[in-house]
Amino acid sequence: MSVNYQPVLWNVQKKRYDGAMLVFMGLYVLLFSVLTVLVNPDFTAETLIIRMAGSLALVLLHIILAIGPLARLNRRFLLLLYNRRHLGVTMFVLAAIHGVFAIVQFHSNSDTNPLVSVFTSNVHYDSFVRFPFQVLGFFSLIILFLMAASSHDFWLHNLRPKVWKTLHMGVYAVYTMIVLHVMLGVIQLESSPWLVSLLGVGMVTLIALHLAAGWKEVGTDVRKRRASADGYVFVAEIDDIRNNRAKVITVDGESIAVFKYDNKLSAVSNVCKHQNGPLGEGKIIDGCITCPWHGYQYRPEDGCSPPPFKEKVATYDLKLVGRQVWVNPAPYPDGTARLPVSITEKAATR
Amino acid sequence: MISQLRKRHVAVWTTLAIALPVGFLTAYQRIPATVSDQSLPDSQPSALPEVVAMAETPALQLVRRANASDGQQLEVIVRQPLTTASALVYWSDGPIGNEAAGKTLLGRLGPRGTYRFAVPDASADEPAWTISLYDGIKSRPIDTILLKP
Repeated sequence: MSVNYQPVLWNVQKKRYDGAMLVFMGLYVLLFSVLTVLVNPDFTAETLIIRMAGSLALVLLHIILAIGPLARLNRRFLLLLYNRRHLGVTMFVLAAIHGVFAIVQFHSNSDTNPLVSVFTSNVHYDSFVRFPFQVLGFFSLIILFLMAASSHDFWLHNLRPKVWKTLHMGVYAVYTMIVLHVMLGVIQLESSPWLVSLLGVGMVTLIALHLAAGWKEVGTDVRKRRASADGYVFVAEIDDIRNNRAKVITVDGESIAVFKYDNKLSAVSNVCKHQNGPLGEGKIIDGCITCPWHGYQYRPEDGCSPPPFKEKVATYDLKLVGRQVWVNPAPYPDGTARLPVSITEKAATR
Repeated sequence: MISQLRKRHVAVWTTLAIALPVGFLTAYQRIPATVSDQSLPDSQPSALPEVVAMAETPALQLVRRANASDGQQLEVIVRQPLTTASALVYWSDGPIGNEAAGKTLLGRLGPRGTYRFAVPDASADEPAWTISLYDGIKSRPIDTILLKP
């Protein structure tokens, strides 16, 4: 997190992440080039660039879309989520290289404007199989551009997380169009089963991962909680919450994270102000709740980010009944200080 | 992720879980069994032995060939990929620029490679051939090449 906007706020983790990404891309380019020379020695440089950039962008798109559900299913994958936006911007650059080279290669040598030619060279808009697949790629590129251009925290802050998230869910429309772009384009001319098999496996894997993660969380969301007469809702036994970690519950659609730390308990909204990340999956670091997605921090007792940062989340009242933790699901305004519940004191009164 | 966003994700992916495989399988089933490329003739006539004339452009090499029995043949070697939508090859005996001269369609060019075309019998007596390349899709001339000994 940062007070001022900078193009990229580099740290060791981001450098490692980007380094690994560049190594992967370098190996892919090398492998693709060697295979092209061996299998199709009659290639041209333009064709190589178009195919390499397009296929690598497709591989990265699958990786990007898999990171989210993987992180929701298994916390170990949160590491990959941390700098996913660099992966996304890189994928857009590759897709743009593919698109620009393809338009120049296939549309620039006529008396029609190349961009117009993309839409008019094939006009079978009424046919599924003969549909102009390049148009699908073109619109995907537009959406990817909007996402890449608005990926910086400046836009996240100014558009607000809700609008920003909605815009960035456009990646699902992109994925649909890209699958059809490939299936109605290169696959129609491809005799080898490898490409279609890989795309099919990638598609099925993504669908399975997203549905598995979604069903798991929806099950948690709709679980009914025990409620007491004063409106408090049962959270967990005190021993079921790990130290410096949280237990997350959802009450009436509101997700609440109850943290245990320094023999105290505090409850805050589970939703990070940055990108709606799951604060309850983070941990207490240096006395602050630390979002697992991008490291935004909040004090557990008042939900405020430490100075000079200004982010705030809602807080909740807690009580201990014996060894049971209960929360009042009525939120206090963002950044309202609530006295943490002392575990030792309450335990003594058992 | 907030509850509302989670529900939206589930709804989106439930829809995609149906729509994507349907689109994928429909497109897969429509893949033609064999990709027909008719730009090269099935069987190229073999090259006649005598080279009568040659001409070159950056992308093409044109060779007028003959044999002892007065047979004539045009050989076109496409050295660089063509940048036009189509390339039809016409023969005529008139000089370059004479649009009124009768033109005879010989065939069409496609990917890089060697193309050989039979020419009209009357061509054997003509000292110079005019070969015209014409884009039939855009309806415009591409190039005109004079081929003479």
